[in-house]
Amino acid sequence: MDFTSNLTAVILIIFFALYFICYRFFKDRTAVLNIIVAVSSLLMYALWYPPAVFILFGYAVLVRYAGATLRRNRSVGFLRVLVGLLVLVWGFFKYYYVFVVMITKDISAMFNVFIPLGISFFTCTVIGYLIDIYRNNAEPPETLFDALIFITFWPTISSGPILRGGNFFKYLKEREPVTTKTLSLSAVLIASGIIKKLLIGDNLGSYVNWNLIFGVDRMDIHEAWATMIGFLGQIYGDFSGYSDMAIGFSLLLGFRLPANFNYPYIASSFGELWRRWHISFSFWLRDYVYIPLGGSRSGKARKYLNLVLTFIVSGIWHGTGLNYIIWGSIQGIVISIEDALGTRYTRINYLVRRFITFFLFAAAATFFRLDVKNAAKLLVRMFGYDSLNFRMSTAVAFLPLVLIFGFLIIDHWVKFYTVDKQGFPEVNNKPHVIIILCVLLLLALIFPGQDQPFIYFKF
Amino acid sequence: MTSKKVIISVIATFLVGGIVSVFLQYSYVKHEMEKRARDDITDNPFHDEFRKVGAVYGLNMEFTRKAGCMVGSQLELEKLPLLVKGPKSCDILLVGDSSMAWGMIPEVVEQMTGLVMGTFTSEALILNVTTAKMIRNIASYYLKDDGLLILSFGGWTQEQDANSMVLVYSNWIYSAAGLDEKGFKKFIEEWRSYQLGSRRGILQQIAFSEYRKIIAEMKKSLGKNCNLNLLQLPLYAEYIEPLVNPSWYRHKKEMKEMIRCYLRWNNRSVVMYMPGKGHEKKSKHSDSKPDLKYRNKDIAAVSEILNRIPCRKAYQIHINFDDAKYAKLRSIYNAYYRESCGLIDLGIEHPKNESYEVDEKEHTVNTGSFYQSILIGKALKRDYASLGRKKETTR
Repeated sequence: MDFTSNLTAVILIIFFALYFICYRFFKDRTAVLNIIVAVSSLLMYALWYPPAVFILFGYAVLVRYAGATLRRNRSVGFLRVLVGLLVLVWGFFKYYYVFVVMITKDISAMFNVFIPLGISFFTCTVIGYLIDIYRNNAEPPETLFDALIFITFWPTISSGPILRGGNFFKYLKEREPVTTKTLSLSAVLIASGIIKKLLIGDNLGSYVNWNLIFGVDRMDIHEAWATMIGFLGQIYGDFSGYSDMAIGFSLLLGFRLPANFNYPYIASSFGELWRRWHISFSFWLRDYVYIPLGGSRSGKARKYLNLVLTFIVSGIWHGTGLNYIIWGSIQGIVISIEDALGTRYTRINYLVRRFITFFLFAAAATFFRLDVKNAAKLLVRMFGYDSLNFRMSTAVAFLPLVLIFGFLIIDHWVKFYTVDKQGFPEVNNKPHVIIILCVLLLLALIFPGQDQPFIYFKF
Repeated sequence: MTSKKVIISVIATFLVGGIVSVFLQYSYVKHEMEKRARDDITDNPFHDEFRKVGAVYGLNMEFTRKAGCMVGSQLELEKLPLLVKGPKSCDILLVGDSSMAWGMIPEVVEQMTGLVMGTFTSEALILNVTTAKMIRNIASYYLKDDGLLILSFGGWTQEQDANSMVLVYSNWIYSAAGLDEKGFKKFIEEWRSYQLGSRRGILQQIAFSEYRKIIAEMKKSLGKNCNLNLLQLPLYAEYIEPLVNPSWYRHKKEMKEMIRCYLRWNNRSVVMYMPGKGHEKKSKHSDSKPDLKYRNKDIAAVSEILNRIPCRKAYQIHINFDDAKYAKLRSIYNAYYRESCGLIDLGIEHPKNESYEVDEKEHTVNTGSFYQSILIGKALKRDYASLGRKKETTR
């Protein structure tokens, strides 16, 4: 759901007003609350495109009945068929245009196919859940209705976090009680999400797009780096902002979800960064790709190969193009190098390692933002000797960088919420933190950037 | 801070921010609408010149008195006047790229020849197999039986891979190209009735793109009618960058304004007025000879389709300012279109050593477009005098 659009905002205000009236009367009857969540989820998804709701029904039927069969016979062959089927459906929607154009070179020959909103997210959710059932880590849903809520849960369906059945289904029986503590955490998460999306993501998005529209050829080294660092700020603001809001709304509905971002830019290695960035997906990759591939059990060489393969899967999941595969490979290779260096790397001062991690992540992100040709060009501008022509007539040209880093430092240092040992967010209610949050929220509402679609909607 | 205070602080900020934002939105929208009303129409600074020159040819140039300010893209298929015309309604159908979209005034040609002219022209309209099939269909639908089809493309729009992707109006062109004559007739009539809002089938309404359009309209309407929109100032691009990186800002601004510097013709409307930025260039006369050995397999494939279109055809070479470009167009004509198309060569048509106003990419602009239109009119009058006779006799 596009939480920051005016239409969605009006719908959400009306929905929560009605929800809390119902909650007052039915707070001990979770069945009634579940019906409200299910109906609202279907309606919210239908708002995106009504016929797509049938796809969700299909997934719910699969989860309910295939899940139960899997629990009964625990057949690895059946699990493989199910996973294969889900990957096939996902691949059809994601790669349809790519294959048709590649094979026929004529888009007039094909019929239009829309890509269901959030398909990558709910496919991951379902695959993970089925594997958990097979591994005995989760129970299959008791009813089709439960499965439907799990698949269609509106706060997370379009951009995650990726749900874990084990964590989710317990709330269908007993909700997290709505207390002032949970309400304050929800309020802070939603406010934090709005700040990140409107004030940071959208404003930086305009800056980055504005620079890229005019091509990378004319950029000097400063502009090239500022553009990519701006993009890091944009994607962090955009995606973690969405996740914060999704977790905040889930909590209002009585579902406590783990944090999806944990201040990733203070990471001092790529390994740590990926434990702090899109956590639900990183752990999903670990549990359902890396470990089944053999993990670190078969020697160093195999471990590094598994790491690279896992991140290639991550790249393919993110987008259709060679650039995403290159981007994923870089992540895997760097983590492997860090691991191979071991203490020789970790002995280096942590500030230096943070610096290396951040700038290397920015350089790799060129392949995330641009196609291969343009990413290579931009890398040349970022590292090329010939682009060292600083326009020093503008001594304050570094201000965009100061602004980008300014927010990232405020966000990572002030911390509007902290993450506890179990991975759940906790409100940081120190007075200065709440004052800064309110000031930034006010700025976000008055000075939002130009409306940019959530980047992760396309995944 | 207690949880209660946190909740109150955040909700209070939401309310204050929301109210301020709605107020700003309201004031901004009002201001913008007033500004747009002021800027929408402006006097055409070339009107006097158009009027004087037009008088020599007996043209009424009153329709050029005002010029509109074009904001945003010109690529709006719905605004192509040809597509709302009826079947067999054109004496002349001109299909071309940006050289014609911006550099030719159909009204001038119509007044000079007394014929009805339809145009399907656009920037970046490449001439490939798909476009050729689309041209075949629009010619069969819009052209009168004795009508004339004029093809007017530059070198780069023709030297494309025969199967390359169409860059503009792609959905429409691909749909139109894939149909036979009957299918196209049905398609265009449905499309037109849909555009005119007279009939929208249930399938159309629930098609993904149409449904998303409805949602977008709802969002727009909430913003416009209830001011429920956050004010979106281009904070960095407009306010911070001029201070922090003026040279880069200036460069980008110049790039943007390059396309807003001239009086252009967008099919039938005068747009984008910013006089004084055009410059004059001398056109190439017919001294450039075609290369008789010129061959291009992609153009061969395209010409095969075009040459088979059962109507009178002319290949037009627009005003050129570069020897090589001019010679190439003559070479293409000589190699692929000479057998079945007449030639309208504006390089021969215009007086030797004449200059025309052009933009940075050598599209005729300002008075340049006017003179180019007169040249087309003259050539048609002379070489295609029989056009439209059928109409006269039936009357």
